Amino acid sequence: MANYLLTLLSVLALCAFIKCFFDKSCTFAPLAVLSTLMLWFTAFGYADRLFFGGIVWFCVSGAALAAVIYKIIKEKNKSKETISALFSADIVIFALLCVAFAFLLKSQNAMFIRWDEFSFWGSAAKVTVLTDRLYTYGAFSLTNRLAYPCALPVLCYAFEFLGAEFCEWAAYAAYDTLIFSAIAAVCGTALAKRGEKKGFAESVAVITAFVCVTAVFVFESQNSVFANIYAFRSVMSEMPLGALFGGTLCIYFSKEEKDTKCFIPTILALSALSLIKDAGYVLAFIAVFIIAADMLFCGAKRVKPIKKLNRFCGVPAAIVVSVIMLSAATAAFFGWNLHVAAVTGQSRTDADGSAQLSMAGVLINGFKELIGIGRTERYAQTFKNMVVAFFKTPVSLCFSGAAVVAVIIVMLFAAYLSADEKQHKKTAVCLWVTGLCGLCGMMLFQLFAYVYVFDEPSGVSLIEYGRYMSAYYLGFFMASTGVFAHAVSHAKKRRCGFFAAGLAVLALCVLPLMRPENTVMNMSAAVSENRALLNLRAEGLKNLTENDNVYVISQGDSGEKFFNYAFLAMPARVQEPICSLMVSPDDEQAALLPGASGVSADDFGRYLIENNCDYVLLDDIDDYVFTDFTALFSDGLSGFFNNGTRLYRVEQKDGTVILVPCSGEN
Amino acid sequence: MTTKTKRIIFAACYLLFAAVFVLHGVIGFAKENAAYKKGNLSVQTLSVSDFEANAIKAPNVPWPGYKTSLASSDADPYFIYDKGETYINGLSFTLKSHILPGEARLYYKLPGDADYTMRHSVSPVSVNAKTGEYVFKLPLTNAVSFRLDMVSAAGCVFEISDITLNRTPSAADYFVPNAGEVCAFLFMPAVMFAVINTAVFALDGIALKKGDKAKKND
Repeated sequence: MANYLLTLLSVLALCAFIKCFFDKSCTFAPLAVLSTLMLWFTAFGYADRLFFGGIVWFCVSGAALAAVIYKIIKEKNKSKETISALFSADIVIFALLCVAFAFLLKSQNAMFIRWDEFSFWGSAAKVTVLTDRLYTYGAFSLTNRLAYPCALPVLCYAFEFLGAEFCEWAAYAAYDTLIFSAIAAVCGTALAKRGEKKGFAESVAVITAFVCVTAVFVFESQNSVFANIYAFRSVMSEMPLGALFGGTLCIYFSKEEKDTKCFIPTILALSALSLIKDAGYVLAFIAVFIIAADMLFCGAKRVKPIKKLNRFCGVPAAIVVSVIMLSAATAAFFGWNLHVAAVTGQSRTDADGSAQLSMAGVLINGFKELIGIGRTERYAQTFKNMVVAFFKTPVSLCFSGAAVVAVIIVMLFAAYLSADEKQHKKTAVCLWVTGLCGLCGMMLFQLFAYVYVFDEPSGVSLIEYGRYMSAYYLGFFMASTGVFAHAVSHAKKRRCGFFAAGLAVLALCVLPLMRPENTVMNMSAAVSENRALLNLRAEGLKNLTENDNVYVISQGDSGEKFFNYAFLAMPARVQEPICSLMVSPDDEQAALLPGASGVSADDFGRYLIENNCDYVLLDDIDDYVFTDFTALFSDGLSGFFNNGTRLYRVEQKDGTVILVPCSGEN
Repeated sequence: MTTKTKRIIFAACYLLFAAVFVLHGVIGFAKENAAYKKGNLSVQTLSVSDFEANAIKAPNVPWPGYKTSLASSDADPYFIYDKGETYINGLSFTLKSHILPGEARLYYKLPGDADYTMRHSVSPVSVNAKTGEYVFKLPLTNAVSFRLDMVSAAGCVFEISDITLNRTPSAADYFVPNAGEVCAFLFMPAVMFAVINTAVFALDGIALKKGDKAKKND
């Protein structure tokens, strides 16, 4: 727990520093600091000096803490005011949520359980933590390790910097911290101006936080109502993407005066957003579009840094600001490509996916076919399915995209009704229009991905549609909540309190759709018991080094356990299996897996030698393996059955392969 | 509203939340105890022969170390217990196998249910990875029948023993909060207070407006 809490403390110290020395009314400090943290560690990762970067980070935050304490002691009379600014509602909400959820995850000893957590996100974080280097520097068992930029793995690295081993729950907690910082930024929109109504803004902030936390639960799950919901217990990228997108917009919305104090954090957050995943770059584009439109139509006259830019209805200002933001996001995005090219010599933008098109080619072809030039059957079918999916496929719990849009429209309408100032009314309308345009943009991006990147069957069937789209819907929802909270807390009309109370009641009504034992609140221990058992079985792998190669016999596995062991064996490698399953010829599954049936003991031995396997790990054997393969094992599997030996060393004697049991000490 | 009233409401939110938790526990515990004393809820030891097995048979070759081993013969093996309507609140057994415990699930059919559903099912609350002891707990229900799924793969060899239906009611189930309940207790009353507070502001506003109008009329 200590390593997580110390990093959280460093984040809070820097938040306090921002509030003390730069902007007392800053309501998005945690998000600004965490965005900086991700960029900071990424930069040091590129230079292959991650550990040094960590040391400097903690020194800087220590110095910041000292400066804050010094300032409070020095200004005796005004210190009370400073302290109350430090403990503003957004910071308190952020800190309490972080500590509470870290406590939840720790008490459940949360472990990775989902496929993608092993195949990339969790494994990348583990490699980064264990080797103090980015995962681009070695050949690890990671799927598409060059495709995903490193902002989230280095976020985990930062939160595990002070521990010796890799803690899975702390990786979850690191992601949650990022999501909560975005939620704090959404709450901050309510606090931006302290009105004469004491406690009202804080109440709205608490309600906003509650609604946003509920939203993350709702958008994380695209399954049936009673399936497990892994919100806040996930190292996948969708929820951080969505939250960061919404939080970034709220940084912009929270300030009445659009000046550098508002633009610099927005730029930092946008860069971090583009470094999460390709979809993050798209979201950053949409965010800039929304901000530019808002500047043009709602508040251009308030752009502060260079007053001359505000002439001509603010067109120059909007252009300059959006160009700067876009270039920052683009620099972050292409910086990863440069890093990959420099380290591995491979280009990331080259041909990829089923259509073998470059990124630019995808865009050009995509728009061509959209207008109707050379539209293929596959394109037309996928397009049609996308339209239907908007109304039918759930993007959250049991609500389709259309239902979510309806809720957002109602909320923005309430914001419009409660707002006093013209600017707030305009912002609500503008977000409504631009948010829907952005939704279309996101759908186009997803459509192109389905047509040109995925293989045909999964593309046409819109595989994982709910999960991919949920990020945008969550972000759009959070940004709308921010605009709503801003309008309500700034309004002089008191009846708008009803809107906020109504929103909270609406969120309360959604809660019974989720059972605590299906969520992070009280997740059944059985979920991790699988992992507990696999951890026991993989004990022997702990002593292996980077040069070892292991073959895992795991009968009945769908491939999931393969990734489990690849994760557990790290930094050693796990050999790809001879075929997905070794199936007895008389099993009915044999027909489904051509080439899989009838693997003989000799085939197996040859395969081990050809692929330089040093060890064989027995995860699960079945009737077939027991009958046909026992002869390969020097002890006839008696060690496996009697002493629980699972690791066998591959040796050759007189040209034949034998597997010798490794004793407990390896 | 004065600050003092607000503080009282704030405390009341927390007290109310705690009271609901305790009351819920008292009612549940009393109900379960009553059923137990009446004999409706009896702790029984079952054997494999009490169940109807689907896709479960003896393995091709007996495995060393397994006495009465069974093997799944397709990807959907399960046991069904169907002995008429009965109160159940738990099931436990010991399983010797290489099966991953996380796949185990207990489905129960209530009177009126056409089929087994995810809605009426539970995962084990604990599995001991070393001894293979599985424990299921469920809210006290009068189930018509229940179904035990342990794995969804063919060729899995296992040995099941010490099957116990139901457990004696325990106060800890009702009164010791888990980590999630502690967190909910920390946050939810605060949210309740925030809702009340904003609503009160709105009501005050309406009252003020009426007051203004009344003044104008004067």
